[in-house]
Amino acid sequence: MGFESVENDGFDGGVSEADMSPLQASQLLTDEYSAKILLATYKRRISAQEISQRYGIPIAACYRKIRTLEEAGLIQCVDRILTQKGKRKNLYTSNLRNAYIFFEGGRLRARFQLATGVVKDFGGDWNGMDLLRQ
Amino acid sequence: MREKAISKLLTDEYSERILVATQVQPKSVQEISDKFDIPIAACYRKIHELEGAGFLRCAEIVTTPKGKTMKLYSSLLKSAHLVYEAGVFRVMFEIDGEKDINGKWIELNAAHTA
Repeated sequence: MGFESVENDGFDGGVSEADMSPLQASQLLTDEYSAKILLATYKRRISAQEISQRYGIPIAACYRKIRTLEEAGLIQCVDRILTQKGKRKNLYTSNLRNAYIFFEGGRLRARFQLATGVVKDFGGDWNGMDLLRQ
Repeated sequence: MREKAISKLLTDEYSERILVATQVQPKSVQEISDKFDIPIAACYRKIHELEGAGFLRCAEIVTTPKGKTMKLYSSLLKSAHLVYEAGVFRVMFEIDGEKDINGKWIELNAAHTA
């Protein structure tokens, strides 16, 4: 389908997590590159360069999305290692353990559970969790 | 892949508004554009995308007092759930008239395999 590519760089403006709408929060997960970065950093320490190469993300977009995800608290830089050429390289790891995005009754809600145990909700109350125990 | 396109469409600002707007009553493109503050050209484009993805259907064609015909759209998507757990993305949809998708968890992609 033709709408995979363009559009939707809407959340790149560095919105702080506190005033993110459920829509902006969900975009962190449904954006193609962001989703790939989250998977790439899941229980692993990996550099931007490596993510870019392995997951086919253009390097500039990769750095930009990493920053957005870092600002939202979903990934973090855990180490700055020195490469053989003497360059500094940041290693990232995902902080996101679970995420739920529900669209029901014309409403969008999002819930993020971080590795630290912190739970962040966007878009109001959460009692639809029964569904997840199926 | 269709499921990915779907979850992406859902979190597109305009698409989400259009799906919300047409949830209960069929509405015309003009009405959606006015009430939900979507530029008219973008509104037509998104509606076509949503229609193509099977989320919207033209419920009715009415004739305005001026003699113009106008399509009224209504949403077929009742609910969507996107879940990320243990490094795996899954989605589940409820779409009117699509028995093969409804209520099933579909795995999108998992960590270290993408």
